[in-house]
Amino acid sequence: MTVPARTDPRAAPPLADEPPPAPGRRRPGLAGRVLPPLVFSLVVLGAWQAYTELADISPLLLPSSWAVAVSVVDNAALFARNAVVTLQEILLGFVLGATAGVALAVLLTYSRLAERAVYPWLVASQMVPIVAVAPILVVWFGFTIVPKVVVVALVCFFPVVVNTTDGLKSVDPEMVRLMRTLGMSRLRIMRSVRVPSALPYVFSGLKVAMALSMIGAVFGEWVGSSEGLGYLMLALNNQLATTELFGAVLVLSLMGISLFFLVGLVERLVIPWHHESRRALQQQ
Amino acid sequence: MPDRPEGRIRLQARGLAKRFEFRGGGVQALDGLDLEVADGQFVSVIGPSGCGKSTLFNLLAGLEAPSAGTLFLDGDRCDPSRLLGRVGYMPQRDLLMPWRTILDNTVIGLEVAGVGRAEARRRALELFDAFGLTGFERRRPGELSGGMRQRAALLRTFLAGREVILLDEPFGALDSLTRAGMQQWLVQVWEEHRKTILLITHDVDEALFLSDRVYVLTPGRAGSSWPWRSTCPGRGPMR
Repeated sequence: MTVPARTDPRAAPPLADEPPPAPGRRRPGLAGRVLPPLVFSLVVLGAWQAYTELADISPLLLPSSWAVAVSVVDNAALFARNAVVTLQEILLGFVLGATAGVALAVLLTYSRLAERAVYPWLVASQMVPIVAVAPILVVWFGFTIVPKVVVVALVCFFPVVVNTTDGLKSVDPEMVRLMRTLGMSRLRIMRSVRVPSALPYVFSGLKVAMALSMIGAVFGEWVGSSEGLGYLMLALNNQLATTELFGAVLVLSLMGISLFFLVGLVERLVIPWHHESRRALQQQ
Repeated sequence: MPDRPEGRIRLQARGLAKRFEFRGGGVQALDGLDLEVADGQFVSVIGPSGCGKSTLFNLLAGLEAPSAGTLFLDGDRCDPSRLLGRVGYMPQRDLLMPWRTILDNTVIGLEVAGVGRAEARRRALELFDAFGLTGFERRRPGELSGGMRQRAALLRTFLAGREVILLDEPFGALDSLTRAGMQQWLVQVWEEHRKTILLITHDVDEALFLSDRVYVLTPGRAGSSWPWRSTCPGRGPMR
């Protein structure tokens, strides 16, 4: 290779500006995203309906899917009233647990001392069965919303701490070094580098936490309450009102699915770059 | 070109050594290295992998402390902590923050220095054209090609306002065509801004093409001192 002679810098050839990655694989449209789950649900519900009718199953054991749907509509007010109670417990507990989880994760990552001191307790807190703790919470706080919120917060807390801690530690060490050469302080690196790069992990934790919080709320209600979907399920079960019981489960499931997707939606709004870069990677 | 005292030594290393200790031994990454970079010079360090190039840059950037030897910046003896934040550093990977737009990525150095947001953006935008990034201000790094990302990373380093800039194989990850274009472009930018640049590369052609001066690092046998030095004239001082 010959060494190119330098001439007037302004005469240097223009840079080959490669275009940004072209949109490759087409993303599925609305129909493509909605149809598959819809069709699959219809198939499952249809099979359920056919089974109960063809095998002549007693509605006390397994009501048909149509009967469950009808019971939800018939008892809409009852389900709605109790669903609101459960929803409140879930949201309060989730926010509380997630906030505490993120805060603790930041502390654990920032201070080695805090990590060494607190981490065993953190793990131990998950070894204590909620089943054992929940009745005590009821003794302490009565049949109020508090024990349920605490149970939800407890189950939300752990996945958020673990995921956030992993996220904060997963930051590219080279990136941290680069920011240090730019004169960034540790605190600022935490804020401007570690926290943003941890966000995808935080949201993974939040999704798991949201799924768990449904179970937490229902369990909290089972231990002691006078309202909520979990309480309703117990009451219906005792009355052998199996169809309505399945209705309550259906309402709870729909609520859970909605909340889960809500977290996903917030994720897309908060860290759009995460999905953009993932899409770009898929196209390459 | 503004009249600057050409030849004033900006960055100097004397007897620089770095040894990494492991259980059951150690590695002498650098031993007794002398190096100097004059104001406005473009100096390259070449050598095969594992000869301590990256270690050298980490020492010069203040990211690590040398085991022995002294570093001078503008004639002042500098501890690592004093070098940190004074020498611009651009690693091999662009390390742009995927959550920031290109514009916001390039102004990080100014932000850290306490420059106001509007002022920082104004200064950055002035250079977007020269760095071939016009039209991509609001895009995120994931949407840009490798060459453009590398230029954005270089703009970030430039804007940080350091007079001495270390480039660690900045074009190592690019294909050869893009690379050739980037080299030409770098020369152009360098001539316009007259920064003092120290470049690591393992590409002899690149070093010869770009530099006023080339240092060659050669790894010796472990345990012995590493003969590292030979300088050859590059294409000579620019005038």
